[in-house]
Amino acid sequence: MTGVDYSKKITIIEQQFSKMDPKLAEELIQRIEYISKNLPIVPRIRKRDYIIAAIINVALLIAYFTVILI
Amino acid sequence: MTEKSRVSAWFSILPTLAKERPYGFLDMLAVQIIFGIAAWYFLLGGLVGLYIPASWAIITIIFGNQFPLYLISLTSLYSARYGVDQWIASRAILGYRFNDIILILFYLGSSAGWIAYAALLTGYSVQKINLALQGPSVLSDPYWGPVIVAVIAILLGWYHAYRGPKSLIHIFRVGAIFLLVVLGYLMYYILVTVGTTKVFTMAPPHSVVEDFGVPPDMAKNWALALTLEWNVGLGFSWAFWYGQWTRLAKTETAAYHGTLWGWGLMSVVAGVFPAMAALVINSSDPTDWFVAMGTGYAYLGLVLFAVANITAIMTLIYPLSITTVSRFPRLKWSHATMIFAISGILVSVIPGVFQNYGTYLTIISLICGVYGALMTGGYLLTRGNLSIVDMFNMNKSSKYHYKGGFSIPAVVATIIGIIFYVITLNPFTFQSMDGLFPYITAGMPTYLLTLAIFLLLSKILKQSPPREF
Repeated sequence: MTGVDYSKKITIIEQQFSKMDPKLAEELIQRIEYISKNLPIVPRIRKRDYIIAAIINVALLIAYFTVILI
Repeated sequence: MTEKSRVSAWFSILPTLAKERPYGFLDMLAVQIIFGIAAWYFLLGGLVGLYIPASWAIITIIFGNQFPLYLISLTSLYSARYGVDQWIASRAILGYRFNDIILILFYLGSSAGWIAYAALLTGYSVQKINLALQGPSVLSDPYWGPVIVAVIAILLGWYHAYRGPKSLIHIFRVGAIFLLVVLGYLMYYILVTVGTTKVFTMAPPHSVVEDFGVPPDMAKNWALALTLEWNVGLGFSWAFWYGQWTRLAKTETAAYHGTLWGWGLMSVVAGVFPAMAALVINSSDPTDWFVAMGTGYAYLGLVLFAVANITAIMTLIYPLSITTVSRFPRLKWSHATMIFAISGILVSVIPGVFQNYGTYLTIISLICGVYGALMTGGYLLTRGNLSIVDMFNMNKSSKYHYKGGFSIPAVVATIIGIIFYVITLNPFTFQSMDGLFPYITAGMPTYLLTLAIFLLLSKILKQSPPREF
C-alpha cells in the first residue's frame, strides 16, 4: 500500500466527519475503501472497439487524400 | 464556496464508483455532441472556408478533427477505468511534479483562450445588434463594443459557474438548443437560399499568398496544410477534457466511443456549414453571416448565438475551477472561478486576438498534441493498468515518483516535441524554419515524434510507468 494507512484515515472520518454529515462521511469511506483495493470498477474495453475505431479512421484518412489529390 | 461546488470539488478528488455513473454509450454520445458543438467549431469553419473550396473544406474539417481525436483516444480510458480526474491519472505517466507544470502552463493557461473566444463572439453579436438598433455608440465601436460585452459575458458566466452545478445544468441545455437552432438556420441558408451548386463552384475569397506571404507556386499546399493544421488543433484540444466526462461512463466502451465520435464525426457538422457560410459571405466572423443573410430572423440568430456563447463560458469556467480546487484544495472556490474569469478577460482585451484564432489553434495543436502523445504512450506502456493508490501518493514512496516527481522520458519528449513543432511551423509568424511545412503539417508529426521518443526513452532508461497488474 506504499506507505499510506487507509484504515487510519477511515477511522478519522468515521469519528469526526460522521458527526457533521453522516451521508457524506459514508460516501467518502466507500471511496477510500475502493482506492485501497486498487481495482477497475467498470467493464473493460474490448479489442473489437479498437478495431472499429481504426477501420473508420483509416477510411477517413484515405478519403482525405483521395479528395485533395483529385 | 457554495456547498454544492464544495462537494463537487471534494468528489472530483476521489474516484466515482460504478453506482454513481450515469452515462451509457448513447448518453455519452449525446452529452459529448452537446458539449462539442460550440463557438470553437463555428470559428474554425469560418477560418477554413476563407482559404479552400467547399469540397476540400468538408473533408479537411471531418478528417482534421476526427483523426487527431483517434490518435489521442486512449486518454479516455484512464478516468473511465479508475473513476479519477484525468489530472490525477496523468501523475502516473508524467510524474506528479511534471504533471503539475503541464496542468498549470498548458491546461489552465491555454483554457483562458477558449473563454475569451466565446465571450468575444457574444461581444460581436451584441455589437451587430446594437448597430442595427442604433444603440449607444460605444457598443458599436469595433474594438470597445465587443470587448465591453465580452467582459460582461465573462462575469455572467463566472457568476453561474460560481453558483455551481445546479445553476449550470439548465443553462447548459438551453445553450445547446440555441446553438442547434442557429446551426439549423445556417444549414437552411446554405442548402436552400444559396444552393449547393453555387457553394461548390465558388473560389475561396482569401488567398494564403496575400495573407501569409507564401510563394504563389506553393499556395495550394500551404492552404491545405494550414487549414488542416487548424483543424488538428481543435481535434487535439479535447486531450485535456476527457476525464471530467469519462469518469462518469458506465463502461470503458461507452467512454471510448462516446468521446471519439461525439466530439468528432457527430460534432463536425458545426464546422462544415460555417465553412460554406464563410465562403459565400467572405468573412470568418460568424456574426457577419447573420447580418449578411439580411432577414428579421438574422437578429434573432444573433441573440441566440450570444446567449449560447455565454453558456459556453460557464461550462468552461466550472470544470477548470473544479480541477484547480481539487489540485489545490486550500484555494477558495470564489478565487478559483475568479482566476479563470480574469484570465479570460485579459485575453479578450488583447487587440486583434479575435482575428488571430488561427494562431491560437496552432498553439493548442502544439501543447495538446504533446500531452496527448504522452498519455497515449503511457497507456501503450502499461495497458492502462496503474496503481490508483500511488496516483494519490505524492511523496517518495509513490511508484510514480520517478526522479523528483519528473518522468525523464516525458520531460525530454515534451522538450523535443515543442522544439520540433516551433521550427516546423512558428505559430506566430506562420513560417517554417526547417521547410518541412507545408509538405508535412506540424501537429500530427509532433504527436508522432513525441510518442516515439517517450516510448523509446522509457525503454532505454527503464523508466516506464510501473504496471500494477
